[in-house]
Amino acid sequence: MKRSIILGVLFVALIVAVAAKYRDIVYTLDGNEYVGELAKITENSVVIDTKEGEMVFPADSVRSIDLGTWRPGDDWENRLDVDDPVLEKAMEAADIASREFTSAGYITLYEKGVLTVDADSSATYVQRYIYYIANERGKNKANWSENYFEDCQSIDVDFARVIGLSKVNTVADNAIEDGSNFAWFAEYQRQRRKKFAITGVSIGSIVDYQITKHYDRFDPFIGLDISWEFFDTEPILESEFEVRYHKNLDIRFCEVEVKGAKRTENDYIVKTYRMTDIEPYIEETMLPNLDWFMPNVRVTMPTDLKLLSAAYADKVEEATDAIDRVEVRLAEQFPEGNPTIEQVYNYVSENYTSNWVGMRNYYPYPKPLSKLLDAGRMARHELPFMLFVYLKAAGYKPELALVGPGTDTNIPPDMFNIGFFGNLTVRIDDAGTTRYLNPNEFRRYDNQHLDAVYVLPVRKTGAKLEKLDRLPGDHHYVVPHYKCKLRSDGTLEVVYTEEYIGPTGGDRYRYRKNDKPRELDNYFDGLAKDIDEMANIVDYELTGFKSLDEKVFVTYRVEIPGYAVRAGEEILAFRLPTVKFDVSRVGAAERRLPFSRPGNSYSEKHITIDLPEGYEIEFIPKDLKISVGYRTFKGDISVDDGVIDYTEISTGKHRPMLKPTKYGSYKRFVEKIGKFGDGWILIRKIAD
Amino acid sequence: MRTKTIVTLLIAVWVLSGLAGKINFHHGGSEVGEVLFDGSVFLLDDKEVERDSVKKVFLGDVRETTTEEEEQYALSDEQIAEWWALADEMEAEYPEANGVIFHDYSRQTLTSDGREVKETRFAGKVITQEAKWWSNLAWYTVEGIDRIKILYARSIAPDGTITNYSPEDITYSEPTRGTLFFGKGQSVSLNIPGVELGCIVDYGYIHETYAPEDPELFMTRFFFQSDEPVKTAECHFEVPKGRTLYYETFLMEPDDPFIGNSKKSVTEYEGSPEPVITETDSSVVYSWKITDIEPRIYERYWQGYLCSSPGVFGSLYPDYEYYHKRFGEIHREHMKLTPELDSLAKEIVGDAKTEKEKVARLYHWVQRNIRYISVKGALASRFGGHYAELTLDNKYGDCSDKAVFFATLCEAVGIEAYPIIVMTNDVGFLDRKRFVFWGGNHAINEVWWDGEPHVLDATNNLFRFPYYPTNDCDLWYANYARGEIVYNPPIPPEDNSMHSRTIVELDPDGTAAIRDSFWYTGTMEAMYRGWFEYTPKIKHRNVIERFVAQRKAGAKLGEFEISNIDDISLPLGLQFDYTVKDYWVEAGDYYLIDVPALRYYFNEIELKNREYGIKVDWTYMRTHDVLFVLPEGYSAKFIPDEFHLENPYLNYTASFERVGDNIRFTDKFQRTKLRIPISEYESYKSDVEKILAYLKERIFLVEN
Repeated sequence: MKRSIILGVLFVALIVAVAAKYRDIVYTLDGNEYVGELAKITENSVVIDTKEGEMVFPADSVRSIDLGTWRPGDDWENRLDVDDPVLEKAMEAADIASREFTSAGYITLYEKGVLTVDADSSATYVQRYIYYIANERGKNKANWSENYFEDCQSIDVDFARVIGLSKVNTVADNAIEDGSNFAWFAEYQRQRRKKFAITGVSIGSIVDYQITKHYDRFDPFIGLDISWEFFDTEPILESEFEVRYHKNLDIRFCEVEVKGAKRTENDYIVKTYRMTDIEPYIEETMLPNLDWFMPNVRVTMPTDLKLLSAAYADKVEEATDAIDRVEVRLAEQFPEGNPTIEQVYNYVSENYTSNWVGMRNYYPYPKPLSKLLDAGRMARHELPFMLFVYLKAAGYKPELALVGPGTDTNIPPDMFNIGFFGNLTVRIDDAGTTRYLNPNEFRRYDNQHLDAVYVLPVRKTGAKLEKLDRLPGDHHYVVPHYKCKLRSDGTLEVVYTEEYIGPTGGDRYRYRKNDKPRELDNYFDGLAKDIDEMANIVDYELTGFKSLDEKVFVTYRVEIPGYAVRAGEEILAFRLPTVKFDVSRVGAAERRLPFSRPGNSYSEKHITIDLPEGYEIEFIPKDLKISVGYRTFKGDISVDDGVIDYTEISTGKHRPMLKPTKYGSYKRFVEKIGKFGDGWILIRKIAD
Repeated sequence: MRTKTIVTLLIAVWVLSGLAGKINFHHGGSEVGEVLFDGSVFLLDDKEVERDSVKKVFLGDVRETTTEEEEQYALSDEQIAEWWALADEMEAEYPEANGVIFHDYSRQTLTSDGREVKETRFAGKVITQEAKWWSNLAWYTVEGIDRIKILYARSIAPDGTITNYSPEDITYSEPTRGTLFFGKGQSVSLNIPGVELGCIVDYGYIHETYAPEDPELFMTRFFFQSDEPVKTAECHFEVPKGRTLYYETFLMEPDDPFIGNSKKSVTEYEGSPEPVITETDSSVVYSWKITDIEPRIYERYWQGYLCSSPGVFGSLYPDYEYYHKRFGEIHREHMKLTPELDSLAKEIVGDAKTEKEKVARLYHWVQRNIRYISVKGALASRFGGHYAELTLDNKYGDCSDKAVFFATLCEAVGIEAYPIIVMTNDVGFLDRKRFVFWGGNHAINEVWWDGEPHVLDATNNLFRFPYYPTNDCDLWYANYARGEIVYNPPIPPEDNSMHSRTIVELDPDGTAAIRDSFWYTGTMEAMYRGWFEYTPKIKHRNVIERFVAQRKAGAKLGEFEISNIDDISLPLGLQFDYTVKDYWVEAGDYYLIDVPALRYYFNEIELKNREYGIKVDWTYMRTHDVLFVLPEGYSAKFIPDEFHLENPYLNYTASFERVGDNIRFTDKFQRTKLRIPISEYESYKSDVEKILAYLKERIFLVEN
């Protein structure tokens, strides 16, 4: 009775009702949900207005109600209701652009980022994007996400809407998420991710959204670092980036292939960058960091690195609150005292481990030692801190150092702040050798190498950024040896061993240290298949892999039936095992963009094959020796006394960016090696 | 024994049932009180609250996570001593264990007032760093529906120090999910302090669903085996007196149907697969307790944990009748036809004449016009999908939304169609006929045409009718709206296929001009279509250049054409031509030729010995038809023999034949089943190796 009265009243009201402003969701106890605008909650009922009319629920049947948020555009029904001039202009441009860029996935009609940094170093960053969706892959532009730190930043979704051909849809609140990236790790919750997915996207529709990110402040441990790229794999019609900052602030810019217009507005300096009609680039293989040569701007508020280091040193000192407990543990572990650096490293590596949370996901400095000592796992940058404390307690003079970007970076060091440092390491002099150590239960301490990066020592005074040189390619490497025997039935037996040159070892096998016997068997089954898909492991020996004190020794035997193929009764044909090269990265006939061949490298491989008795060489490929200057390859094949001997050596010199004009010679280089790898060896049965 | 307690006892802060409600604010806080709303402003115990500040309102029961330490969970010296001794014993038997588990306990109760209470207790010793994860506890709860009650959580160091968790260290946070997934729950997490190598981790908690959306959906399950050795694993399933629990154990007896199929032999354990059934005044309890359980060793390509680990499942019904009604009603309700949906369906089918044509048009339209995004709220939307009308309005939905929507459109044009619930085959083979399991992880469709039911999956956006993803076959599905449990067999190989026709014209200098044509069906087609559609067109040439370079170093792409990328109603086609210098490999007097792109992968035979049966990714067919046009003055000295092999799981036929002066290679490979029983592994492996050996063969040409 009461319900029908309510309905009766509301029916009249709906005649003059305006369109619903909010999109609320009612969840009932029996597991249903209903969408409408919440009209009323009384002691006995819940009322919502829906498209079909009013719905009334008994109050005790309702579990909860999610309240929608009104955003600009929520009251638009169709394109004719659009009253945003920027959007209107973009919609006009879409009509023309869609006819011009017929193969685009989406077209960026308009994008603009405005960063405002105030005198107290608080900031807002407003980003607006308008896209035309041209095909299926473009629909992903209706999704968006960004990370932030909950204690000093926030993100608002100002609006997010899709202007369809006949209808406007706006983002629903239940399709906006504000989640913790590490929700499962109780003590490491700081970084959150806000994301949304807008409804109603279809081909031909226009996606329009704006988000505002707020920063409470920037300080030594929260750095400003924003970049804006004027390039994409899809066309961009108009792109603008503006930075407004108080004149008292030190804000720096790194501009690549774009120049900003500068002006002053009261106490603010405004720098504006704008580009239009940007053609898409092709994502070719072997691309260097695109920011090095494609138009982009990077903005930072640099930190005096001396001060950063000092502030970090203070935090380290603050965190070192339980060194007495460390001393006790050291005494228990090493009752005779004076453990070596290696012993301390091994102890820390084998007793503490990481939970994968990184320096950029949490506070960049370590938690108090008292907490870490009770934690089963800790953040990646806290592990080096543990090692540092243990080494100090053992009487050594270790130093912490912040690990910065690679030395190839195009950002000058005077723009750096904490955001440029992604990890921590321990530096220590070990009988004349400077070591950079990160505890890792799978890596021996003398197999750790840090090169070609910037590091900032953590010191209370006088810290200076240092540049670590790149190590030569042959500084350390592993030489695989394959000793093979070919049988007359075509079966190949292989005995595999490794040789370690320089400060390196079989650390990759340490990842098997916790394997149960059958897991280890399965692992070696897999290694056999790496040699040939028909290979079966016969037996293996692996020692020294369970403890960092020991050095790894590994050898295994495999058998490959049918390895050599027959041609008639007399000929056996086969290829050198594991000699195969992927040339797909040089598949393109030509290039438009630079390419990269990074790193100094050296690799060597040895294969011997005992031929079956009664067979002689019918054909063996020629040696190959080629070079393009920064890359060399040598493959020597010889036969002596029924044994094929193959030695392969490749070297590489670091070339972070090579001009497209160099591509042709590199392509030919790789293809020659590829053809060499396709070679076959033929042996013939010696006539009786 | 020294006991160091670093935590104070906290008493639960909890709102009793019958109390009014709660408001959650956008700024993160919340308040409890009686909630009213007048249309513009909330009243919380008579205090005005602006609407725009409110994120969520609860009118029902809201219970918080509680933390209590009750005397009954206090540790005795005897217990601790017993554990250390047990640890020594287990470590001696399993020296490679990462940890040893003393007890793994679960009690799953349906109370007489409809709550579901699941109690878990665990104790084990951490031996390697791998087991330190035991200290990291996390749960997923939905406010207003369920909560966690932590009974105890502590570590015991070798020196006897007991370190208890601190309630202050519990964190609550909405977890971030995949890009396209949105939900309602939160993560409750806790790290047990003091966990080092050699420590014992000991915890107990209750996960209480105090306001289940439907108590009749109560379902129990427990797996006895872990990746580490377990001394005692026990589970107790409790139902109110007067109710029966219908249970099924798996892989606990030698005559289990899975033995010899998904697993070679019964996991070693002590105890009985039969429960002990006890009655209390108010309930019936079914108890299993087994001991000395060997660890599980995972193998790639196993058939999924559901059919590889000993366990027990239970439900309240001996058959599906209740679930058919419950979910069938939701599905039918959500398939409610509106004028808008009706006219849309008719517009889509247009002038299509046959049932099949109509379904095809609807299938393609739903895939391409309803984007996959998962926004889950309550049971009805989670399991039943949103109302079809809402999905149309949103233009997005997840599998259940799209399944309901697609079925609705079909019905609008007179085609019988239903949403159906599956457990995709990558999770494991779930035999719904063996026991009653109402759940699943995916929703697709059963659609009738030409008098027969067919399976379709409109979740994706790349499948040409009548094809659907290979995950959706070789499984039992539940058609609740129709009231049936149906087996969907493996997709026939011809419905997931790739075919190529190639001409290789060789010059006397070894240069080859090659022309390739490809066509596809099923998941293969969807995969390639997706690859090209999601790659900018300006990059297509690069993509194909990489294809051909992978085949032969130095290959130079000429022309290419990819047809029907954007139109999933038409078959995808790919053609290209390329040249290669030195196509053949010169070896003395011989010139070796291989068949371009002749490659089959059999990673599933990697292991010499297996404990578990195999499940491969898909059934499929691949054919090659290659004509080698030899240069004048050259002939084939040796060509490989014909090959034929057939077994219940695959078959392969290949031949090289002389066609005049030329050579033609044709082959057909079919994988016909997804699951290979462990009992057949050895012979299967041997057969595959024969195929691999054959694929190494080459044509040997000589100059005349």
